[in-house]
Amino acid sequence: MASASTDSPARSPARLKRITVARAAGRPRVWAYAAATAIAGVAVLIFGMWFGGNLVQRQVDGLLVGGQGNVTTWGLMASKFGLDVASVGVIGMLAGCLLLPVTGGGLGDPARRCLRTAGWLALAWGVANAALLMFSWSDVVAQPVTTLPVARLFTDAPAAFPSARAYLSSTALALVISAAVAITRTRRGALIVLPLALYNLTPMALQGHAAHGTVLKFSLAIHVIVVSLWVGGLAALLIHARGEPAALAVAVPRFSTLALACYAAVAATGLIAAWELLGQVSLAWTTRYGVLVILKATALITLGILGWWHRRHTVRRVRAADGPLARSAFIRLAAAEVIVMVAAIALAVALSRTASPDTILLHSGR
Amino acid sequence: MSYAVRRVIFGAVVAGGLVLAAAAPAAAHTALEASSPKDGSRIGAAPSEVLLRFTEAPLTTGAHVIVAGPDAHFYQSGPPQISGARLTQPLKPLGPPGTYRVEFRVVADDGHPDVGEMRFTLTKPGPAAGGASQVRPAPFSQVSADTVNDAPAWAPWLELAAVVILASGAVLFGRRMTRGLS
Repeated sequence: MASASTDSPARSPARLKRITVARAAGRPRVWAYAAATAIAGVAVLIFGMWFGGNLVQRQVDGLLVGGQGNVTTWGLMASKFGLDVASVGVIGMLAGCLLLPVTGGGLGDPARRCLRTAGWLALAWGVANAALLMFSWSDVVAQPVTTLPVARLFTDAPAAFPSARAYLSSTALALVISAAVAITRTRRGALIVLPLALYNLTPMALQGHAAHGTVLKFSLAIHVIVVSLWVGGLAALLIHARGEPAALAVAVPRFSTLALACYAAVAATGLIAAWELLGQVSLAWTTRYGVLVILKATALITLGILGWWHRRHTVRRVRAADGPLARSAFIRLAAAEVIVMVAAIALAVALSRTASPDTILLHSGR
Repeated sequence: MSYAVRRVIFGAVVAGGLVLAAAAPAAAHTALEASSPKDGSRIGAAPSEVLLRFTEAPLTTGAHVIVAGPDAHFYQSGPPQISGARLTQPLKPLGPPGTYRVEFRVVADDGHPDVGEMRFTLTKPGPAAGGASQVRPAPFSQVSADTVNDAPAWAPWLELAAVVILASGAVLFGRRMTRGLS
């Protein structure tokens, strides 16, 4: 995405013209960028799953020890990634709606677009959640998805699949959020739905490794909530407000304050969770889980550096609506940040499936 | 760096440090702790069941045990029974002498499936091969555990490369994007 020339003086007419031309041809570039983000996310996800040892099926003489097969392995991964992206999107769009200025007594155009996208993403959240329910169930009971006794979900769900209730309530709440956002046209509506959406993150955050301890549980829940506000908020501004200097002038300084607090909270809770699961510094490079944690920390460092450029150069000028150059710099930096963030979410999905080092898997000494 | 930035970073470091100082690593996952027959043992009499004991009680759903004989037949009989941290897998009458492989899969209480294996060698023919009849399993014996999620040797280099490439990339990209703004 870096296409600015390096040799010409910064504010030369030639460069301004090039930027204007690039913006006029904006649509294809947006699609190319969205595709690049998706490819980065999927590639990192597949690498993470492979590195974590989650693509290997244990077999005895050609017979799976489980029986759930590849559909479950890939489905689990895809639905978890879809769920994470959709939920982060919903929360970000709602947060974006609150960050953007109110114009003439009602929501401005960007804020209204945020709400509309939030509604669709909440629907996707519900669908991904339902898919994840099926794939997790298949994984736990080691049966192919197609043979699961779906009717039992409505009769004796906890006996059929212990976590069924958490998944079902989370799916239902996502659909409620979708409906609520669809009929909301006001800031107050977004303010009411946002806590609901944040609450709905916790059932998924408390699955898996969180069962290991109370400190871990709280730090993971806070981690997920804060990440969603930060990543989603930035994505919302990028998607729906990038062409509106007046809206950005108000929303970007607000977001910058939020992002700084989020960054600190993400780092602190991430560090706590990593320590809870690793418990020994050397495990950060001797175990697969530790390596994935370090890669995630690398993403955080990268985001810190990009954020520093924002605070140093772009935020002040975007607030002053200081011409297209500052806005363009803000958009490009933010776009790079979103790619790194999506890759970090993909790593998180892989981590949630990877056995932590305190898991002792037995293989007798041969 | 502005005052607010420094304050937030300081707060995060202090909070993180306090928790790290106070918190002990979390409790372990389910792992195999003891078995009967003993892993790697040589036994003369065919047992009627395989017993496994775990460090924590696994879920009662999703447990599977396969017992493969030297003749490539499967000798598990029906589903395993789980009671607390103890799993009982009934066996069919064992066949020819040789190595029997026990592969198991249980689901830890956090929903993560764990798989593992153990082996024992039957030194005399089992009941199905004309030998003596089945006996009650022997008492539990401890297993030696090992972890299998060790990272490959190149992993530290991957980490180093990621840090260097991404961090310097962010510095260069940021400088390029904000050129002319200062």
